[in-house]
Amino acid sequence: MMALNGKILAFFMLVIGTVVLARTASVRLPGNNQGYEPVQPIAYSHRLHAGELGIDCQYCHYGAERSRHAGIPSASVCMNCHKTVTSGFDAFLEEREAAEKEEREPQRIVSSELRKLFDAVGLDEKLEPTGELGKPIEWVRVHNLPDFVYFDHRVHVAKGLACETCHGPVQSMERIRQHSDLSMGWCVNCHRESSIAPEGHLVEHASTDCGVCHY
Amino acid sequence: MDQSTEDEVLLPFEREGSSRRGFLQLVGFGIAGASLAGCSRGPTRRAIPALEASREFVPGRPYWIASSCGGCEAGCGVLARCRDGRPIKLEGIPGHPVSAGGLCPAGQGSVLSLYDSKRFDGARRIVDGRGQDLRWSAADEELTVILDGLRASGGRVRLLTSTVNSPSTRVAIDRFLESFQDARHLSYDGLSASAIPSAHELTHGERVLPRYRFERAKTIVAFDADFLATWISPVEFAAGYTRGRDLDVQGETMSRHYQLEARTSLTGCRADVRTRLAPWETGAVLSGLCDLLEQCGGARGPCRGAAEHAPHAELLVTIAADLWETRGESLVIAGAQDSEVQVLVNYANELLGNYGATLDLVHASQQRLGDERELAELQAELADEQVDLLIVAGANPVYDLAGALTVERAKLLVSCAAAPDETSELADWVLPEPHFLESWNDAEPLRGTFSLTQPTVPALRSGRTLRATLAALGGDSRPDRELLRDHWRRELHPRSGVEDFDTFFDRALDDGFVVLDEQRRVSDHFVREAVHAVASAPAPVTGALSLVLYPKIGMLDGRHGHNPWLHELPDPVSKITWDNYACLSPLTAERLELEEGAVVEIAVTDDAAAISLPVHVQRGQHDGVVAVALGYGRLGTDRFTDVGPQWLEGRPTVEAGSVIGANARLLAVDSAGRRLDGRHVTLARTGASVELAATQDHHSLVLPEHLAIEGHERRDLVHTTSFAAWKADPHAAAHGHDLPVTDLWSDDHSGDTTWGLAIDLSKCTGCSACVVSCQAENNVPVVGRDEVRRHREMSWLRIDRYFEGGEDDLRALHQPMMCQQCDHAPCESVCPVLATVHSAEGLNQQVYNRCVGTRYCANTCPYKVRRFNWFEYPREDALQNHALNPDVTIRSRGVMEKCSFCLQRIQEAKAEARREGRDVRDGDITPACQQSCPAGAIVFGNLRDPESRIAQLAKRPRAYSMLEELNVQPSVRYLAHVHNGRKEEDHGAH
Amino acid sequence: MHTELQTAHRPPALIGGNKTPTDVTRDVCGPLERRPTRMWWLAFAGALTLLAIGVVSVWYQIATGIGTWGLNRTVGWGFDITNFVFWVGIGHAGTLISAVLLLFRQKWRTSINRSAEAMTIFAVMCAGLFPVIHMGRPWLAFWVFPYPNFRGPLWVNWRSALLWDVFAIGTYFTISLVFWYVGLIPDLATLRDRSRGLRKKITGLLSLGWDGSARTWSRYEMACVLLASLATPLVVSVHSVVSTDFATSVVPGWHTTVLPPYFVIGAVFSGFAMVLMLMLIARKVMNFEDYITTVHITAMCKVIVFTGSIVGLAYATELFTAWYSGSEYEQFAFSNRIRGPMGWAYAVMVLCNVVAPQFLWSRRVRSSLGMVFTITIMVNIGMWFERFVIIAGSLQRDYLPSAWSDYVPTSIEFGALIGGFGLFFTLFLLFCRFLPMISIFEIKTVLSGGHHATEEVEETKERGVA
Repeated sequence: MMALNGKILAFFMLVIGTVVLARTASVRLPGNNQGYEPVQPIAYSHRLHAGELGIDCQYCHYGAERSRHAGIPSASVCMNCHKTVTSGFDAFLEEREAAEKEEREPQRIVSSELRKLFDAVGLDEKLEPTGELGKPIEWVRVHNLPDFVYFDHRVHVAKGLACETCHGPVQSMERIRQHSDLSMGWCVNCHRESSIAPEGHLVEHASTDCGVCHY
Repeated sequence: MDQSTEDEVLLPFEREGSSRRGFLQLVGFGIAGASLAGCSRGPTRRAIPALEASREFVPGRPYWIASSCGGCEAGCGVLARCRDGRPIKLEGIPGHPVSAGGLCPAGQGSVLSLYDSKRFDGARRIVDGRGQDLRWSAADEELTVILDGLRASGGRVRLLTSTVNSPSTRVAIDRFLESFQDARHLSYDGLSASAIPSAHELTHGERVLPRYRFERAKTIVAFDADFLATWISPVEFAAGYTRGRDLDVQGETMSRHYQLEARTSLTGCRADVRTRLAPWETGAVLSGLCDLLEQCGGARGPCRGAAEHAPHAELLVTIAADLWETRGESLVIAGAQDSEVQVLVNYANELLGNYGATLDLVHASQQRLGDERELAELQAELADEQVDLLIVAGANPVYDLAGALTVERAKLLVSCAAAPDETSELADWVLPEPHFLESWNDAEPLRGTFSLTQPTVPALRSGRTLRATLAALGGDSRPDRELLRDHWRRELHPRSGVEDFDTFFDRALDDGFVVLDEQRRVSDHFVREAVHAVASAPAPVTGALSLVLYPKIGMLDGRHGHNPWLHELPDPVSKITWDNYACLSPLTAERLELEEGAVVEIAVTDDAAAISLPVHVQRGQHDGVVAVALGYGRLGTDRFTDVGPQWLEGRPTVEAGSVIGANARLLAVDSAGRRLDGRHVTLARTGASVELAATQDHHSLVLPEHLAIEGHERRDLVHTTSFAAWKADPHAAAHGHDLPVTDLWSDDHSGDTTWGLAIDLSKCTGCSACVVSCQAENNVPVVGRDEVRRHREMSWLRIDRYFEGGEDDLRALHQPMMCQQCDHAPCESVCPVLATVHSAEGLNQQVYNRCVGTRYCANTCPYKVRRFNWFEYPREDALQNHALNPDVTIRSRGVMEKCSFCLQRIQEAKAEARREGRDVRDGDITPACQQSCPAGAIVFGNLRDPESRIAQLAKRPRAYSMLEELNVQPSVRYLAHVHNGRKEEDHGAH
Repeated sequence: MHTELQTAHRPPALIGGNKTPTDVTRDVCGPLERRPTRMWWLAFAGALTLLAIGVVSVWYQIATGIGTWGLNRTVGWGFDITNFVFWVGIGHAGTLISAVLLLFRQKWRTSINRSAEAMTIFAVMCAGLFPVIHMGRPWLAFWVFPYPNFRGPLWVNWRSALLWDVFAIGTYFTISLVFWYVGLIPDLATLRDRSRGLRKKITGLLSLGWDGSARTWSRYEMACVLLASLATPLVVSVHSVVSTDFATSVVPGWHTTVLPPYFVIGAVFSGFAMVLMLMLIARKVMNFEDYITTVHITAMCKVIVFTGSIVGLAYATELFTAWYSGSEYEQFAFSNRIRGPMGWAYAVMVLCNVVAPQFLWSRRVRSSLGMVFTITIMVNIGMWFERFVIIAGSLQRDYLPSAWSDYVPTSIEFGALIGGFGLFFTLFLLFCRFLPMISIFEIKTVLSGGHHATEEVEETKERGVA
């Protein structure tokens, strides 16, 4: 009997151990890319732009209001600001100090990351056209849905859903990271909850029909 | 939501010098490339935004560009739906004088031809059979030297085209030819109607093709004219024809359509009264008709006495009476390529006072301007090797004339073919024309109606329109757009009354067309002296048959021979795909002891020409004819060898090195290059046999005799009644089963929306535009001939065609059949994994990614509209993947699919409505089938909204659902077919 | 069982050869302990070849697509589901013999129940294979099970008869397997006691420490009766559920209430024919003439002629129902079934299932092993065609004449059909080779001569303790 009990104990230990290991090592099911945070061609900081500078999400991702895709901003959108802002404030101050010290006109400082942007749109350090054709920036897509899922930003924006609801605290992310697991259950649960109208409020029914996303 | 940023998106310095074309190049291919790369599951997916943002183009948002269809010469106005810089779907422009919002199957299919990787890319010089690609400038330089030589030496220059209805191109042609001493422009049409203008030259003194106004005709008499399918301008005619028979609008009247024809045409089997007419008797019958009309008018004319000897005398009396009763509102037409016959047609119309009413000579058609008579002269010159330069554009004479026109004997042959064809194979130079979706052009299909064609995509292949090529060779190297604008500025703008040219042009560009006041005067003098009674031509001797050649609705004259969608489109009459065949009447087939699929050699009795084709037994055809479709046997159709799945028992769609079908023109062109009608041929069995790929096996609502149950010999699936019976009792057609309905289940959805579709079977002509439209919209794959043979066609929308009546009064009932979106769907309850479920809006949703492929749903579907992906269906041409609709999932192997009522369009309309903070309005959503239907037979909407059009239609007494007694509660309503047969033939309700 | 032993009625000819319990043990265990015979090797090679054909066909089909079968937009099921229903039906006889006849105390079942039950398990394995490979995406077959998931969660469709199949077949397989295994335990102990080395280790593990004590026997008996009681309703339920695949759908020819009893009786019919066929071979090959005697054969023939007649009645009922329904589609479905393009299959079905078994009324036919063997084969062919006629023949021509279509099977489908038999025979031959084909301890209870069976039981008990 002792031997048998020992075996049973060992078996349960094994099961518990596996579960604990699975939880701690955050084993995910295939297809779940939660936490995906790839290195981008330009070290663009959402923390700086969305957080510190407080730029509205849809200033850059203007497709979200009109289209299925939020879109990744064109380089020309970046240039709206970066034709003026060419480096970090610290570098700019440093250069001004240095210039003052050396009693000369401060030079335009171009940070190495913005250098890439200017290359993309075909401008040189002085923001003069180099004459070469620009080359679009190949960003790495973070939020990927399977081909058989059709998510529409426009409807969610129209209904006043905050970007953070799905994308998480982007304003604190240095590099963009997939916040939610983007699983079907995650979508469906939100749709279910938003179908429940709080007292006295009429909430538009968020459909849980399959055909809302799959067609 | 900061929307004020829009204007700041573009930088000023970037705006300058950045054309839309440049932008499209960047955004279109950036994203297309990314999305294609995204299909393969790599570790990382790239997202490549455009360099420049734009107000107009937001990735993922569809936009429409107005243009003109180049699928044939009819010149329908089209709207190209584009996504991310590439066109993916064509629709008719609502209100366009020709297309009136519809589009034919060939037009629908032509978006795929844009992505044909076999098209020529840039100029090419062929030396000793080897092609050499050149830059356009280099080609121009070399050719200019040659042309200058010809100008100096007075060399003979000939330009051979099909109908050129682009006014700016016509000007460019004139200007180019002017610079030579001996230069001529000749034109002919693959599907010629030149006998009609020729007849008008005799009777009206002017070579003119009238515009036929079917909507104004109360009696239509057509002799062998397939005007609902392929004759001159079928989309326009189908729209007009149905308007003249619209039971909802007119209510009181319905045109009566007589068709006398040799073969069984689509138009014929839609006719109210149809009879079989031997092709050699057409003249005699028309003479008889004219005689009878003369008698009605109390006049004595050139046809006096013809009625006595005319065949079908009894029918002619009825027709004449009907015509006379509705004179001024009737129409007589004939498809015959015989000016003597066409003169009689004109005479009949003149006697009836139809000119100015149903035949419009002021806004005359420009859709067929070719003059075949000129070909004989050209052939004589070529035979004598007198032509120094022959330029062929928009035509393929080597194929069309089956080699009778010896183009290779021109000293220099320049072909402007867009893709390799029979003529370009022989050419010394190829200066390819672009696809109409990537070029600038204009057209004047009807006098006074001017359409514009504009690029919808940066050119995929380097081509140049004939206008630009001729201008460049004449030393004018302005861009094509400038040439076009120049013409419009000089010729059309002054007629418009708009002050500013740019406003005028931009508005025309936006609308796609402009209608200008037509000031032409037409002589109303009818030259009666031109009219002569025509006797019957000699009938074929015993054992021989008269040959009838006809175009198919998708292939036309063969110009769409490289389009897989149109090859796989079932012929609306025979339901056969991927082939042409020798149609024989059942009696003739029996007499010749030939069965379906037996390969026969068709030989001309007084010529050496012969081709081999399988036999198709076609009901309703005249016993003395063999009918063969044109447009097959095209060079390069061996590209379809690998179309469809390749597997152990799979057979190729076409044997490697072979072609699809046979060129029937080989039988009908004489050595002088003339195309002949009604040649006499004999058939001889070769011993071989093939299985034709048909999508329908049983062609009647009547059950096979030996299986039928007493009292149920015929299934009443397509409700039909006569106009007289319907007028007497609107419920005449509604012979549904009023069964007590008991439900086991509670209502599946309780919302305020049930999407439904209403299809008016009286309007549907069976033209199959919806079938191709659905294929284009929903990424329906092409499966190839073998799979169709195995009954695995993938079309979500099919048109069931049932023949009714006997051989002499054959009629076809067409019934478009797609998912009926049943409320009590039998498919839904059987799926073990919930891959097909009911939506809150009454849709039967198919979720591809959940489907495991048990096929149980397809088995239980009473309508058999579910389609299974038996294999992974690749495209034989990967470039054609660009025509895929990004809004519809590509289905993988092993999953079920079916009509979704264009759910993507429903979702798009709903998303837009939400964005604008309003409800979806009736008419916001049009599924692809509805949008393309030239006849307006299909209406989509919310059945639960009493104000909606569909709810109104569903309340009509004519409305019924298929297989109502099963209580599956379909959401598709059919409106019974009403025909306007002769009174004594009224069948009444069955 | 003790009481049973004491009062056991022993028909004189149930076991021939005047066997003693020792003889029985020797006869049954003997072949397992010797090298396989040439006959076995030949049969095994044949079965493996069939299996290989099936494996290659199915592999090709899964790699290429269901299109390698001759199905089409109209006929979505052909050989696949025909094979499925056929094999499920085959399984029924085993359960009937081992469970129902046990409860009804039919002694003659003892010789055949072990192999009949093995047959059940192998047939259900074959049956289970086809619904999986007939899927367009068989790699997702696990979606038919309700399991927790991250899709919302997304469950299965409880209204679908196919899902009921999953549970019916799953339950049936589980119960049959357990019942069969439990029945094997005493014999495994016998094998354990007679062997050494690896075989002893394996049989020792499998016999779960069987000691043959009275308490063990008593518990064992209780377990057997309980399992038999559990298995009995399954005989009726499984094929009834399978028939609902058809009966609950709107396809004319499928949509009929007679299908559940029709299917159950057909299953018993075909199952018995298969058992009888296998027994006729086995008694020859394994020299079991003394254990499987004419008594068994006659009894089974009687069951076959009885069930065959009911099947005939079911066919007639089906026709009557169609006629009486007044539904034009229903009537046409049967008109087409008999006289349409697949009329020949209907003729084969009636000939094999209704006409052929009637010859078994004759004692002469029953006693001719050759005739009986031929009839059993005919019944199996006939029952396969019955399913084929119902499935493909009904789908072929339903409501809209425009969608009517023929069905022509491909070589790959024949491959899968052959492979099913290959799998079945391979498993069966392995079973013959490694496990006692005849229930040793149960046979001992029905011995007509020699020692009293309890002695042997005592003997086993003693050895078990040792």
